Amino acid sequence: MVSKTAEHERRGVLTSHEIKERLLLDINLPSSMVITPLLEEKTAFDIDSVDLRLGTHFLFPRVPPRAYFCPDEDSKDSFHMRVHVPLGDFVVLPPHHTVLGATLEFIKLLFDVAGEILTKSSVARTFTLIETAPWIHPNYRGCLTLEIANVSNTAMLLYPGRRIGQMVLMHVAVQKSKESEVAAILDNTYFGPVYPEAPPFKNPEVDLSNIGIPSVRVIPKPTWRPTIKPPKKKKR
Amino acid sequence: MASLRRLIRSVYLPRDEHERSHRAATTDFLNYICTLGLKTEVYLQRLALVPPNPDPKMAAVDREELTVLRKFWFDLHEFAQPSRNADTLHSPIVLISQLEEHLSRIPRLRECRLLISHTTELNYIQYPRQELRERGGEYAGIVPGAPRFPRNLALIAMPYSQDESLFSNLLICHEMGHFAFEELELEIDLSRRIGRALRKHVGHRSVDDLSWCHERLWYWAEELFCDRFAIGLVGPSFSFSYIELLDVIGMNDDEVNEFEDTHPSHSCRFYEHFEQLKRCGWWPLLDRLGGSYASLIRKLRNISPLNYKFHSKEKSALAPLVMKAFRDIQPYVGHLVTRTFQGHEARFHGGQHFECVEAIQKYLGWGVVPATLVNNGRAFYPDPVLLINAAYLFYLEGIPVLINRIKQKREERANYISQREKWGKSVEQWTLKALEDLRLPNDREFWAW
Repeated sequence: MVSKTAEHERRGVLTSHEIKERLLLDINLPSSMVITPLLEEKTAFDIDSVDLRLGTHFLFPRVPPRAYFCPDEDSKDSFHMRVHVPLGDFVVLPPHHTVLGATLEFIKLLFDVAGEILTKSSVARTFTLIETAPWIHPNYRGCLTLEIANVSNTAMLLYPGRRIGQMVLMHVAVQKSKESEVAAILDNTYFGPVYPEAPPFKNPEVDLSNIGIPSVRVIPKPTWRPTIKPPKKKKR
Repeated sequence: MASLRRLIRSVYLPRDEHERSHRAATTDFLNYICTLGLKTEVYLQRLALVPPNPDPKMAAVDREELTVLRKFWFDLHEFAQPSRNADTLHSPIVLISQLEEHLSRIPRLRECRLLISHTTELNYIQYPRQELRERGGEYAGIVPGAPRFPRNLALIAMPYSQDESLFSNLLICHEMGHFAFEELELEIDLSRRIGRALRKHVGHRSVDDLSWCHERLWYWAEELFCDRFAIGLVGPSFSFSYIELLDVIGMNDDEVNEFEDTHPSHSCRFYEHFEQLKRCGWWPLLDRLGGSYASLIRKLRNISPLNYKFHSKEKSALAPLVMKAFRDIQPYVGHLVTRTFQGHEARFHGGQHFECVEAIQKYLGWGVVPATLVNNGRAFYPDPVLLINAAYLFYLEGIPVLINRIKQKREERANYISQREKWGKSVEQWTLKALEDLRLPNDREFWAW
């Protein structure tokens, strides 16, 4: 048994009742779900969604050390500036700027449920959008990274801890025979982040060689790394 | 005066390229420095308008006052930028707040706060405050309106490289022990005992010899006090972080038994660790889940005190006598710790605590922040100290469980060290996140509180 919800009812959007039911399942069960912290529990749920709040860590875009930005293996830390804003304080998002944030809540999804995070309508009506990549895969766990864009003409104050998005969950029709197999696979891409994460990229030549492009033009990078020479063999 | 003003401004004015957030203790300290700087600037401006004293002796006194001011800024220089650098992004603020809260539960240490700064040393340091307070008082006597050096502030430095770590920063607890030792003036009580032990074992010697012996006994006893104090705050996880940072597991018998001028041997320290862990009921947990680190503590505890060694080039004849006197002092340290905590030590009670530890480890094994734990269809919060210890035990023994559940490429799986490092870091982050969640207002019940 994965859940008390009857098999024929497991389709479409999860109701708040189903979500709450799964939140109280043992963590060892593949159909268990976690949302922590779940603040103001009584008002956090709508009939078909759960409200999520803004976390305290941000990644602001910064001027990269070079005059261009190339998404590659070395780019992870060069494009973002980490900022921490404790609860009770705010961060200013200038007009037409975007910042990466994360939800305050750590989510563990179930093996047979996918989700979508949407901007709360009250937030969206202030011309602030939180997601351009809103899909959450089954079995995902971690705080959700949000791409928060201020598309208004005014600087916006963002307070960590305030409600910013709502998560809608949907059943994924996993074949009964493959349930245990699907439940056992934990994907390690973006596994368990608690802060907003910069994307990990491979070098373009690697990505393109996978589709048969033999030659890729890349800009040589200046490097500070010392060349490690193999140890010299002792002369006899 | 202009050069003094320049020096002062170079210390108190922020040098940051962007805004930083700090804990309340740091903000108050930085405000203190800033107010001191501003008041001193006004003082210097007024002083410049007064013609120099024609009497050379009086002029020398004025000059001396400026030297006092300058010297105090030399002191503050050590803390200003390093404490700015330990902002909320570059220090484990949740852990520090947690420890601060526990400290304030101890009678006579209420309202004490932790000022964390960075150091370039790969070590943790507590700065004694007595002299700073005195110099700060002298300063306030010279500069009208200058604030007094903040009281109840523990000045602790952590290595800048460990800003994201949870477990290694548990060594802060030992430094908090130094703070408590100084704040509660335990040296007065201890000195009487040391005096008696020295009379018994060392006898009549020169003042210089006695003071040398006294100093060693004091240092050693204080170190043992701090270790036991740290275990009283966070349980066995302190011992684990000690073992890990100092690589005690890789030491040979000679190394673990060697006393230094300022520190007792590791074997002696772990004797006290063992006793404190026993006193607070942690051994049933360590016996079940402690693995190699628990075995090491037990092994070191079983080393006979007769194997402890202390060699001194300075006073070689006195070294064995000091060791004898130390054996009289050592049992008293545990008593001092008990008296300090007055029942507020972190304890392990078995039963439900076992269940809670197992639940935390189960959550970590599935890569989930163990903040809200479900047991029999009900949600609970774990006790923060249990959480830290359960997570540390998982970090030591349970990471392979997690790694085996994650889909990985063959080359990733082959590089076990990098995998362990990666997931070890994740375990620390999940634990910190759980500690953060526990500090939020909630109406959940605590599990085995």
